[in-house]
Amino acid sequence: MAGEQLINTQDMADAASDLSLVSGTPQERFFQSLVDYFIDWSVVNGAYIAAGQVKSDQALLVIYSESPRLEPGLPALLCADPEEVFLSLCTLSDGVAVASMNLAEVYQHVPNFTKGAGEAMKFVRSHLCADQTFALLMMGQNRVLVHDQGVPLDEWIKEPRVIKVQLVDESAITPELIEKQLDEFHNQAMATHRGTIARLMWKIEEEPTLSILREAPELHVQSGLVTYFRGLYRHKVANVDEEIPLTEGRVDVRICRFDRSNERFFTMIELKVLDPRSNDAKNLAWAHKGIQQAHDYKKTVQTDSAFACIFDARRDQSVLMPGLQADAEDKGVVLKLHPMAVPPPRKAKKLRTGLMVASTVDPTPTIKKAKRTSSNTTPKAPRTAKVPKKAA
Amino acid sequence: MVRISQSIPKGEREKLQFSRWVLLIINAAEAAGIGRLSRKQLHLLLFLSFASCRFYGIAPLRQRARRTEQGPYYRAAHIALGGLALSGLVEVSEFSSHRSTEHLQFEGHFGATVSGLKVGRVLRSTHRGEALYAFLLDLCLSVVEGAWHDDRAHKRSERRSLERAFEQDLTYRTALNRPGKVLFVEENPDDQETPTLAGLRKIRQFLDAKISVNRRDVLTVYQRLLMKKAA
Repeated sequence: MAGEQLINTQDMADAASDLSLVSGTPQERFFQSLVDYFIDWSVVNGAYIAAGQVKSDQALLVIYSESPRLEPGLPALLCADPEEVFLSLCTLSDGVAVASMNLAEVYQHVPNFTKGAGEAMKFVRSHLCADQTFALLMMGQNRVLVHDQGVPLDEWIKEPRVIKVQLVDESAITPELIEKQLDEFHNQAMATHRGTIARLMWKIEEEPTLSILREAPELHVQSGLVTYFRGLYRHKVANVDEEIPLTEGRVDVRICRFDRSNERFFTMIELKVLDPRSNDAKNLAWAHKGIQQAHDYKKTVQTDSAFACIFDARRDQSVLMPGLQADAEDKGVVLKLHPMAVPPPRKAKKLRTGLMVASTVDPTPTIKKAKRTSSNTTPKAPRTAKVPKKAA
Repeated sequence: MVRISQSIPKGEREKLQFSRWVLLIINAAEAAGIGRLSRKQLHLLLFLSFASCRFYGIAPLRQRARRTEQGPYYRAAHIALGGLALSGLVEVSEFSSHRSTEHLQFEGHFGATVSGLKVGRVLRSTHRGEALYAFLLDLCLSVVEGAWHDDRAHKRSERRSLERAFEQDLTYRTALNRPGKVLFVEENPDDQETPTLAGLRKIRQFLDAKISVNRRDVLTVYQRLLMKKAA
């Protein structure tokens, strides 16, 4: 049989080495590929880095494009003479490049930033817009600052989403370490509405409309978390299960690791976000469902731990949810109950006359303002505010 | 595969479906870094995509490839390419025609355009369009990471020939070994198992016991095996 000849165990084992193992949305995969490149670059240039040859402000700006050749996303003046770059050579470490999702096609448009990262930030402010996905690799600082599409540039410059590159060894990863990192991720990304992931999740309207979560909030947490883990661990151990759900459902984040004796372990992480529009009973049921799912995943062979991470975005978090902890303990699940601060609505704009609502404002400044904000706001943001049905 | 109005005649609907498949595969090749596809690469990639799309829960289109001296030939692909090229959604270069009284054969290289990428994004805004593009993109990414894995430091023109790897596809080899002018992907609508699918499932089973992977990684391993076989 042709199939038998082509697909034998030894060949499969050989072919399975060095897989990219990226997962999540295309943009998130782009960030993960960049983190992988950063790690490769650090290893290849280890001696150079150890000798202090890399300045702490050396910066490489990489812009994501579906076609770096056709849509570089930069002013035409800067695209006159791009240089094709082969990342496998690990030579790209400064300037501005445009790359495809898997970094298979990369063009360098600016060879370097003579004034370092400060100049890179000025470049971002002058030439890029909020609708673009890009990352600033801080070559001397072991971190990557990633910009998600839709985040206003001024806000991002002030508080970028940071992927730390730490290279934790696989055998050092334990459920306890993962729990600690989940706490850290919550503090950095989710605790306040300006958190680097939370800001992608909230739809903040004008008074009196209350802020609500955008669609599929768990997906944002999932993407952010898997890329966060990608930077922390030396090996590609964390991924998102992108398959069609099986009987146990689809796990949100799965960490597959090997201990010193080369035994494989899985850690499963189920993510649930409590909705400010739902009542407490519904939210409570949602949280219990997360615990149940984590419990079901724990039945998977070689799974040593399962986390149920409940991100509490209810407007009134003083109402306790009794029984969650006991339920988690009964089911052998680690419960992480993380509060999320609900953003207040924006103050209504006032006209000179004191009247509210912007539609009657003098058209000239409105156009200017609209032009300014169009590149600095989420493209999918609705123009008209909707009052949520169950606004508290 | 497509949710196009039932008021459109079936034949026309299928042409639209094929045009969408061709445009998205060219866009996916661009996004994955393969770049322009030759006529033969495009037809082989179409065949490969039909042979493996059920791995992603997507049904293949009904059109069948014909056996020619120049490789598999989808008449519908040429009609689709003509429409896409004339409307500026696909770029054509190095064009030359074949003298064929039977087919509409021509050679050339087909690449994405800015307009084609924009239209592709609109087609991806539906659930089905998004699912199809996600599959085709994964397929093209697996080609780059699989078949071109050892050529990453080389210029595109110096990389190994993709069609030689595609020609090793299990369903294609099986189809070639059958008599007749038609190259079957599936024998009949009830038969949804192709040799490619069986191979992918075998790889999946093997990898599941080793590491934590997604379907794209399975496709990548398959492409590496094809390239090894072609070498």
